[in-house]
Amino acid sequence: MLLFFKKQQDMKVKILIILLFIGFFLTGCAEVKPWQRGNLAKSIMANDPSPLQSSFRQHNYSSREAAGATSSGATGGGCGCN
Amino acid sequence: MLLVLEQLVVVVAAIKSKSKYVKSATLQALCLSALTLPGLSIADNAAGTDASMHGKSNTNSASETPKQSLKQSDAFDEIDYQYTIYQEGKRDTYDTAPYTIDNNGIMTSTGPYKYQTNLQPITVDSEHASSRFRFGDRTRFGFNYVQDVWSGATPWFTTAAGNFMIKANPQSLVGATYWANGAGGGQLFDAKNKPLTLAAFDTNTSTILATSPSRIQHVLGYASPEMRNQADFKLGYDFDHAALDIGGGLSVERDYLSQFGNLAGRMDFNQKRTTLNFGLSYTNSATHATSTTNSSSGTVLDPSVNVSQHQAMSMLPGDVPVYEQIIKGTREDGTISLALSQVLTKNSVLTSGVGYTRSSGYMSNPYKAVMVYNMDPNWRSDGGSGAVLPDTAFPGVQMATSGGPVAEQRPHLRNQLNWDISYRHYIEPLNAAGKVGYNFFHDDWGINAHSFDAEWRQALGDSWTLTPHTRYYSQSSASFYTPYLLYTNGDVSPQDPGYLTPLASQHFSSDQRLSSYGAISGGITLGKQLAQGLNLELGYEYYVHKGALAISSGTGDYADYHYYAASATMRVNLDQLSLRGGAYDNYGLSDWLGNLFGGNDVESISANSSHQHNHGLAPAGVMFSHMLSHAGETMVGYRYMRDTQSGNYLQGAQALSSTQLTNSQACMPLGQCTMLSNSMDMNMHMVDLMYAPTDWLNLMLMPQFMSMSMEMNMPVAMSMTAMGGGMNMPALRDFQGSGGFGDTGAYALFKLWDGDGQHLHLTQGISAPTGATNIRQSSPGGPEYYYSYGMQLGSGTWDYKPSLTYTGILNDWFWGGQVSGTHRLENLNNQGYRQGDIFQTTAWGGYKLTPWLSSTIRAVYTAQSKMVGTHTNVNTVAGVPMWMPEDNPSNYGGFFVDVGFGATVSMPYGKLAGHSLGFEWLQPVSTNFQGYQLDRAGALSATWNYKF
Repeated sequence: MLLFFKKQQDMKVKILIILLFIGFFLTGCAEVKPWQRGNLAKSIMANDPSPLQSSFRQHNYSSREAAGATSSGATGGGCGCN
Repeated sequence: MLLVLEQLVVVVAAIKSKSKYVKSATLQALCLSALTLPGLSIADNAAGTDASMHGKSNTNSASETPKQSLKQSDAFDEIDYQYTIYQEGKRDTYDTAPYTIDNNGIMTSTGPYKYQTNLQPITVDSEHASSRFRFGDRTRFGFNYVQDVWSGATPWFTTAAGNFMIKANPQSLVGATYWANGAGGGQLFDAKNKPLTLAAFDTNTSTILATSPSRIQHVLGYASPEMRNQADFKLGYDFDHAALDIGGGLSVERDYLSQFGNLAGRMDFNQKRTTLNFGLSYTNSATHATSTTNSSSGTVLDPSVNVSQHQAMSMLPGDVPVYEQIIKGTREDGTISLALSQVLTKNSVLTSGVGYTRSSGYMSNPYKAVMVYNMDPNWRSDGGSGAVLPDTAFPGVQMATSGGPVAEQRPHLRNQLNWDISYRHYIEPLNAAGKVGYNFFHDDWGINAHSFDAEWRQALGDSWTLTPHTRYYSQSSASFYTPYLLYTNGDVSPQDPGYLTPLASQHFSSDQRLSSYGAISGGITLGKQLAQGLNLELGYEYYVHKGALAISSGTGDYADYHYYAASATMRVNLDQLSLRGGAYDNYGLSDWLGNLFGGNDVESISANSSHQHNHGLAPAGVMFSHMLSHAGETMVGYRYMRDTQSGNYLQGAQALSSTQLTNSQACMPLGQCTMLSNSMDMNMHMVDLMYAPTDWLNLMLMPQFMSMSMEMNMPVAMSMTAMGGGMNMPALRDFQGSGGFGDTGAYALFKLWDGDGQHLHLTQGISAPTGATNIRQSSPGGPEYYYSYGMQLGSGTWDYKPSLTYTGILNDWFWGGQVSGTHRLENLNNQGYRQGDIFQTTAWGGYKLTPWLSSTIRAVYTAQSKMVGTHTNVNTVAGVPMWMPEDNPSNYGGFFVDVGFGATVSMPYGKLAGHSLGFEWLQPVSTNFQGYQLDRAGALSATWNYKF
């Protein structure tokens, strides 16, 4: 029983940490006004400025590494080349 | 893509609110432009997105005017084209050194030695075309097409050095097949199951005197050229603060079909400072793999795997049947993902996501096997190999009495977790952005993987971007990974049919991708904006895989390899290109269509437009038909040609039946024909890059990508006659495919005369032999042979390609003619033959039905001389007569007449101004072949080009 309680408490702590983390994400940062976002709007600050390049690179990784499986879409099958 | 649409919505919203809130025009400009991008570009990190989703705008800054911002927000219609090459380095392998015997009968060896295999490593050539269009304000559509052609040697299974070796002299043979050196029988292992080699052996008493550590090696299988085609689409809708995308597609190979669908969504919070992405995807894949010989995938033990036997090609009555093994299986993958992006400061963004994938079904690779060594616990007393080893001298030494490859067996369920986080920061003084990321992967196969990556995006001037990147990856091995298996089944003899049965319920794989290793890669991407809306990107990456690079104990160096990957990408943004036009910037497609049918002032608009030219009014199948007339002009284009042969074989102009062919000289002097083709397709994709340094000279570069396929058959009557006693050919396939980079042309066009609506120019060109002439078929453990001349990707020779072109135009009529030739500049190519010279002459006439549509008709006469020499490597399968008319060099060339019907659409104005699109069908009218060839069935040409 005590053990169970302790586990529950651990769980609560974990949830609290996660909530804090999300809270930080949502409110903790300095507010950036729309007109302050000129730099963020530059193409080099895009998440993926060269999508075809990075999809090619990612395809190579995912066909050569065990950890590539979570990307969506088809990578093909066959004889170890993909 | 998401991003741009969002921009539009924001801009529209801002304009609507203008009268109420925004007083200052400057402030408005700032708001408009600043609002456009943030928050959204980071949105597409969810695992559920793919390349077609990654839309974005190219440039935007706070200093732009509202009008420019509005235009930028229009920047969604885009066509991208990418060509990539993936090339692995040659792999090292090991062999046991030959033994030497001294006068006392003592045999000694220096142990295994390393050498580089001459097997061609994996090469992949790919083309990727991508387009995105918008319909209305909120709906968008994206389409992707990918074609891969690959071939080469890849790990098949893993053994101790010397068990399998390349036939004859391993270091001199190219593309040789393997020889099983006793297939593992007699292989020694120490107490830790590490392989040993005999260091000294007394031949008088058959006693082992000394052992030394041996090496592990990969046995490579060679894959014949194979092709993969993938098409997928994405349909999206944008809400005010959210977006929803639905997509799907399929990937098709001869042995693997994959179909997938996905759903992705995005929500914005906190004035777009926070973006939440989610994704769901489902993939269903079916394997249908044929082993050309039973050994190529090894014995299949797992009873849940669907294995069927398929009678091999060319069976003769009364023969002992030979079967091919077909492995079928299906797998399903479902992924759910969630990602969050947060704008931290005006210069930094943090993104993090989690994903979970559940895979089930047949996840083994049908072309991978595991070497099973049969370990007889009583091998000393049984004395299977004749060797005697005193227990006292070598405690713990064990010996395999036999062995062989068994198909790998992976679990039928896999749960995978993925977590990634990345941070990017803009460094204002340098006008650069840095990005760092980390990814953690965990699955219930026992694999944990970490990857760290960093990227530096440096803007240089107005139009250049230089982006170096580096990455480190490390994974632990799957719990069932093993380079080979030592197997014992009590007293059951390896010859007993049930000997391997207990293995059937176990999991094992020797796939290096499931081993423990690390990888370091690095590369650079160079981006150049050639013109507003036209971007070129060149990328290069080098990747090293090493067991020793793993964070914790990696596998041995036998699996080490490296690759490089290079890419060239052209991105054409139609909206931004149209901004160049001047007066008709805002003239959209719908306006254009409206004018078309409304009959408004079409003529006056087109007459004024800077894009109105009379160039390009030649049929799509005519190359070098026009010149750029002003210094400084550039043209980019894409040209596609498809040439088909099918139907009957002709001798000269006379159709023959297959019986007539059998008794003909079609394959002489090789022998009588044993195979015929049913159809052949050749596809050529050419990129035209043209530039005018002066008014009278144009320079042109034309790289091309080829893909070919051929369907064959072997009439029983034919093979009976040809093969006399009868023969089985389990390794023969009824199709051939090849593809990759073709020959590259460089041309100079000289204007000779221009005036009064008429024009004459001379083209001088050289074609460089960048296309391969050594395409061949092989299979793991099976025979190999070179593909026929028509299936090779290039001529193999430097060629001279001159032409003379005349064009004229009068009112709505236009006409032209061209004489062109191809002359081989070398006596023979390095495969020992030379294709025939080509002479062609053509004349055409056309009429402009409307200002934007014209039709053409033309006649073509082509003559190609005979081929000289013989491909030194064609038909090298020892003892197997596999001859097709296409293997005979005297069956190439001839005299041909065709009639062409074409249509060309030129956009004179509007947002597609400057673009033209042409099609032409060439119908054979008269054919007179040299020798025996499959009849011609017509050719299709399509061109797109854009001049600016």
